Amino acid sequence: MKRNVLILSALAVVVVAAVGIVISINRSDPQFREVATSEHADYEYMIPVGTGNRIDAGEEISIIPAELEVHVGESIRIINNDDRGHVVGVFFVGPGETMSQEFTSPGTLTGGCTIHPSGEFTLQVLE
Amino acid sequence: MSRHWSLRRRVVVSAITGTVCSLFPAGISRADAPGPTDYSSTIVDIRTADDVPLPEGVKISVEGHDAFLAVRVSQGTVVEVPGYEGEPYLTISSDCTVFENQQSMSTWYNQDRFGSDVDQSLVDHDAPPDWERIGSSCTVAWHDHRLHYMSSTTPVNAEPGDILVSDSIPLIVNGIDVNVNVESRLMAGPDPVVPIVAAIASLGLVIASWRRSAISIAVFLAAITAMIVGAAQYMWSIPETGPQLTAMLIPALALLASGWLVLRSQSPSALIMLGAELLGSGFLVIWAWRRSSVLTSALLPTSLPYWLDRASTTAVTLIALAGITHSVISLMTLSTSSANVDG
Repeated sequence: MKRNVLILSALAVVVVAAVGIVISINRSDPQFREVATSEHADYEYMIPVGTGNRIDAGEEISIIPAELEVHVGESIRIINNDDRGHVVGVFFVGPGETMSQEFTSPGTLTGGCTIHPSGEFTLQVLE
Repeated sequence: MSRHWSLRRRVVVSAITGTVCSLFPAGISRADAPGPTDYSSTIVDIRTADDVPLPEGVKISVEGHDAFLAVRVSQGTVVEVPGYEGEPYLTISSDCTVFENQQSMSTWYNQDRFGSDVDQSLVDHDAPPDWERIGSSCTVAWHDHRLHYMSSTTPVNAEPGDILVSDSIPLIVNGIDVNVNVESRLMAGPDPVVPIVAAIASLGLVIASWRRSAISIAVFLAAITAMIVGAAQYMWSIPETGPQLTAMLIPALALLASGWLVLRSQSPSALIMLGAELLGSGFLVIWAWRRSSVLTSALLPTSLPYWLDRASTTAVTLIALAGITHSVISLMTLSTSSANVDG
């Protein structure tokens, strides 16, 4: 019995150490918290109707900056009045939806963007 | 003494080879080999200029769930793939030879799934194409960023089924302009039940084998399992996507170390045996670490049923960790005993 406990304890230490390493590696990404769309937003962007069709027609769309520097505690709201979903970095806003998120931890994220000519959006969340 | 040196040398050579293989970037010509993903990309339609039909034998497909677009043609067909800036990027000549332009930014931008850290000075935009032969199979497959969601972070506010990417990839086939319209959707994550059940069963196996001093046999069985899973991963994707040979090579090294331990005809010293067990387990941990995302990703690069891949990966991980724990504890015990005897 004692031996089983020893085996399990030793195994648990190794597993916990491995999980700890994985968590610490992934900790650098900023985190977000969904907030009510009625609340104040520090940054607000609106995607108008027909944006998707304008993109299909080859038009360059510039609704949001390619880089946005924000602070922990601030929030962003993206209102999508288009009939198709749009990706803004790591945010997705479905057709006819409004997305509001508060930045809860610092870090930098880069991702694709359908509403900037560069096709990229970098979000830097500062303390 | 010389036999021990020989064994030690084998262990050291295996360790060095294994470490080099484990750390070496995967793939031959493609840095971004197909891997686990949460996104499924599909071809919505293929349109040609003036609705001219595509030449016979042309097949266009998505490979690696969301990473590669592949074009297969018959001999005599010429394909040109422009890069993101419209520059010459890839071409299949009429004799089936495939060339890649080393002066195209797309060549370097597509080496990484997210196109990060590309040195802009790698290409001279004003220079003529510098064609390098990369194949001769009448097939070209390239990682295309227009095929997938461009972030390693799960999209905030998206739900399974949402279309995250909707784009068009242009080609020229026998002089005909072709547009491949693609979409990429977020897929639902896997059910955690399978890994949990596999973890419980593996824990039982670990305890039973530990009590019977048969951890090395469990590590050997885990290495065989990892080898099968790795082979299914390697053979799943077409060669042009650069599947990871390390998926099979690392478990092969683990199999070598643990197989020698289980099937040996003579009894070497306890130190050598524990070293082999540590080595075998270590390779398996590296293998499991590299593919840990199969437990959380919706789509896997394998021809095996997904539940089997996930259960096997969980079991191999736990057995390998147990193997390391067992060999380290035993080595420490051995060293304490030796110190006591010496004292």
